[in-house]
Amino acid sequence: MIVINMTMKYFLFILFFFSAFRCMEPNNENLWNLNKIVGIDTEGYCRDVYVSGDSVFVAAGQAGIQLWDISTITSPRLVWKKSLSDLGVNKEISQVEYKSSIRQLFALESNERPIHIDLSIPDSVNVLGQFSSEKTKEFRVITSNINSFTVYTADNDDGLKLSTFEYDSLYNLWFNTSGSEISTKGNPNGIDIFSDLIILTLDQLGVQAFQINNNTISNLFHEDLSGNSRAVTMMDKNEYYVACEEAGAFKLETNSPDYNVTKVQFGQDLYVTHVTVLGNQIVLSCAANGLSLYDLINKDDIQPRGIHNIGYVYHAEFHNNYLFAASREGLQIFQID
Amino acid sequence: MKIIVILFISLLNGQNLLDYLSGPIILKIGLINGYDDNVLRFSDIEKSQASTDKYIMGGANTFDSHFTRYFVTAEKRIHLADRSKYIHFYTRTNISNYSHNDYRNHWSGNLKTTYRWGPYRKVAYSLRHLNSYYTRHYIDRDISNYTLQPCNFTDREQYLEFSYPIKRDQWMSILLSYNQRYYDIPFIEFDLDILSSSLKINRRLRNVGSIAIVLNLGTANNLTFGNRAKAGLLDRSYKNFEWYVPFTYSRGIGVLDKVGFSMRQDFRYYKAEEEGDQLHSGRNHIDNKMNIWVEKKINEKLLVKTSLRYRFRLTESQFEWVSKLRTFHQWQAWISIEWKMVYDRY
Repeated sequence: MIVINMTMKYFLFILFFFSAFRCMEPNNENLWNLNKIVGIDTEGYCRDVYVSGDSVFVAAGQAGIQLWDISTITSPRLVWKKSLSDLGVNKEISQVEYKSSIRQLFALESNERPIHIDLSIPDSVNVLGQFSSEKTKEFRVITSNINSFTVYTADNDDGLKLSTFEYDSLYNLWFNTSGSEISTKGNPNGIDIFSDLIILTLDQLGVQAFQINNNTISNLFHEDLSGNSRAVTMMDKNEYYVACEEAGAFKLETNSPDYNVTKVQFGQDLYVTHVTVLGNQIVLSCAANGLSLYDLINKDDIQPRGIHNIGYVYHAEFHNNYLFAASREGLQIFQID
Repeated sequence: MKIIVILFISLLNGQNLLDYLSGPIILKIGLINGYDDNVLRFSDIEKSQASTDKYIMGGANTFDSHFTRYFVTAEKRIHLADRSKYIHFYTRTNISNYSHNDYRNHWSGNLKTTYRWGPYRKVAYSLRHLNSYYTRHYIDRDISNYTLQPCNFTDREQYLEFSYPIKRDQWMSILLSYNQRYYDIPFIEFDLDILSSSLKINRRLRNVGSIAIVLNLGTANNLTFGNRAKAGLLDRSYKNFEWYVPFTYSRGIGVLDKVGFSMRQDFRYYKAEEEGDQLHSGRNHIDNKMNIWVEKKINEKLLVKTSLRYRFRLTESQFEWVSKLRTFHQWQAWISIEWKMVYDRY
């Protein structure tokens, strides 16, 4: 015999079922959030960004070059800006790079020649002029000491070009003291350098690597890739990422000494213009599709973590765990969760 | 759990547990054989697109499919001390197989318990589960621009129903429902919590059958709206109003015991107002369903039912191409045979 609780007799069976069957939990897709910290109106399209400490140099397209102070990241402050006429050029500015050790700024007039700007004198911006040759697509600057730098350019009609400058303290001027040109297998679109290794993207012909050895540059290897190789990002001498426009992106690894290349393709159905990486976080700049995030699980496994439609993105860079996205909608700063 | 069990059996009003459980358990097993002429719910435009792009069919070769559904039901009535009052338990499990579209294979089931304390007087709780039901292939916009992936969802619906007589042969039911419609990865951006309430007026037509009218108001909250990546930017929340009229003639026509007919119309208003997204912006659906069925009891154990359903979902949009792309027709027909067994432990 079972003794009962009379007061509960009419409704407790419902309670039983409610208790026995829990509500469902939604699935978790494991995508990453992109939290916008701030957006900066750069007037023209923000084509490129270079961050050095609290200084953010912006290639602002037809608005020229801008310097923003991000010591308070949520409220960036415009320090100065130079229009195209201030710079003495006609086409938009598509790239900037600053060398803090020599306090020199370099910019690129799109598909024309790099511009040299001296920032060594406080509160002054001196445009020193343009150098190298036309049809420069991208450049990198390497400083060997405080009185010398070499600019390596991806020249779309000449191949790899080098221009070395030295500072003459007598005249307080930078002189172009030497230069050379190395032919490539195709027409270069982009360039990156790590240590003594240079990699050029060659549009339809993939990538070509060179080695700098005591002022001589020798060809190392060539690797064909799908799509149009546009920009290369080197992580170290053996690992780099290539944006291949309509073919997405590739992660390439080389094995010394014979430079066998292993490839992992990802983002195949996106139009990728640039790749940036921080730890396991890979960010593709995908033109009209915004930013696409990927997780580097291991060296052969790259998993998607979401496309974020933030506008038309040309280029992105990590700095201090912030993601700086250069877009037609201006410079946008994010954090990834 | 122990407390719950003790509370539960306390409903039995202090009588010997075995006295209550000694009644019959009614079991039914059945097989449904059917045909669906538009499994993927393609519009005419999508059907013509499929001739050049078969990927949108997710690997299926045909728009239509034959399907079979096996089901088993069990029910048990437990009379309380006052014999006019009882608790009724009901459970059903279905396993569905689509011969021409393997993605659509799924199982579903429900549990229902009812406390009845007189004619037309009852309160019921039901739990329904639909497991990983395939709709069609969609592009996972979160990670891709073109790659199609199967889109499945799981429903877990719970409702509470209360019925009470209004006057002779007429009663009303009020139903409150909470349905969790959660999608499988990678389409969790569609996840919905759906709350709805229904009012049903039933009337028994003497020497004819029965008729009812159901009015249903619902609101669906897209709980993953604004989360994560690109596809989460579209709010898929909606409100809906539905009316439903079923009529059953139970006097028999020829060899048939029962004939039924129902009409249902569901007006769904989506919240999405994404500027530049013509496909989803300001879109409404009017979902029309008409159903006719007949039933024949072969003998005490065997029951045969057959049904024909026509569905026409009209999509309204300010853009004509959206309306054409999302409007579809669907015919379904099936026949069911059901075998009743009684397990009685005296």
